[in-house]
Amino acid sequence: MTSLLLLAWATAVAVAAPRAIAARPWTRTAPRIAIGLWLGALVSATGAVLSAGLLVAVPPTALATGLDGVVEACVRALARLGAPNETLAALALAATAVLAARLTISTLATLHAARRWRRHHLAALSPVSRPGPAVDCTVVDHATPMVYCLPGRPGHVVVTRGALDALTPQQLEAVLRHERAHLRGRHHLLVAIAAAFRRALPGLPLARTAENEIRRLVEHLADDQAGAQHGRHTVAAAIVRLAGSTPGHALGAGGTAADRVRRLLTPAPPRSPARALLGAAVVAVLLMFPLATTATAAGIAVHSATCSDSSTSALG
Amino acid sequence: MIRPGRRDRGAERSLGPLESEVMNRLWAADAPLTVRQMVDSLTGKGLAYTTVMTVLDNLHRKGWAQRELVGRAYRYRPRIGREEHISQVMADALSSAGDQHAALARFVETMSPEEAALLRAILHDRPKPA
Repeated sequence: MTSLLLLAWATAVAVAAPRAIAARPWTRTAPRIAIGLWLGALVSATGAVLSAGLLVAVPPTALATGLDGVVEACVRALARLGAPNETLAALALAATAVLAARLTISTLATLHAARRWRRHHLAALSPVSRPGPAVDCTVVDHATPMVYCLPGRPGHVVVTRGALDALTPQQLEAVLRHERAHLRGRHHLLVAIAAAFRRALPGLPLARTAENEIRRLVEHLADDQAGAQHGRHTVAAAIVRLAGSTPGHALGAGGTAADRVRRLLTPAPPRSPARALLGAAVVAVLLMFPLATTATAAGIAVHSATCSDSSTSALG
Repeated sequence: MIRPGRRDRGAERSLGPLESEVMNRLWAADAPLTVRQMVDSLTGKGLAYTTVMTVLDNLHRKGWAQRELVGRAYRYRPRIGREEHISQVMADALSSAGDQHAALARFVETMSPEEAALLRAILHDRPKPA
């Protein structure tokens, strides 16, 4: 019962979230809330599936007795493979383990690959870069205007000579502020988590949409922070300067830069505490539902097992 | 997962200040240099012959420099030119490889020239608020 409820929840979240959040106009004015909702939806849907599998594999009574009970029930399920009930339990256990392992491995693999790529890149840059106009900024003697940041501790902002030539001092400041917003906000971790979910669940539209949207939303976040300090028009002008002079490359996300410029040319969205509160509440519900449901199921099972003689608990 | 080999280990470590300087001198030189010639070009730094020899050996081991034995001395030259190296590194930063696992964040993605022109026009129409 509880497992079916959890699976229904996961399905509902996976279907509803892309429709409710993706490309909605309000996400442009509240990128932070939208990112929270996307991550909340990802964690909620997968958490519900994992809990559902666990509840099938492990009777709720065992779940309530803690880790010992869980391990014992898992061993029993595997040992009695063949009996109808235990076969279902073993299947659920296997599915849960595979999903959990996929998520863990793809998260670690994504973070590891990123660190490795950055280490290689920094090593290759080391003899051809020089300190830039700011402490965290490195200049490379290259004519193509480019600016990018390499997250980590410490993070680096890499600027080419071409970009220094193309930007006014104010625009350069705004660009650096934008990149620092990425570094300080640890935006790469948000993108990496979404990318890991997508790798672990390649067929799931929710994971694909979440990654694309989070990539777009962190740019809005950084644009807003740069715009607040250096003026939104300056940030927009810097984007046009750099985008207009960068030679096209095949895999660029078309349209995002133009979208950002249009967004920056409208006034900064007003802060809305009510909306932030609502967003936080929805994220809390997303995160708490699978946990609370599982805990309640375990609690009721223990209650009926200890307080009544009938062993008719239909839960699980 | 690909395990880093011996070569990769070197490629993952940034060059130190002295290694960078020696590498840039290799790039600036017209012809392959011996350790002695490198020591001479670094005069005033008070560097021992063996120090410079070790640095050049490291650059060779890490894949930055190539060397060939001429007579009894190695002559070192860069594996690829400086410009070419920079172009490769920048192409790497523009490629999608770093994107897949969020290894870097670029300030702008591509925009078509028409789109850029259109946006310049919009910017122009909406001058910076005073």
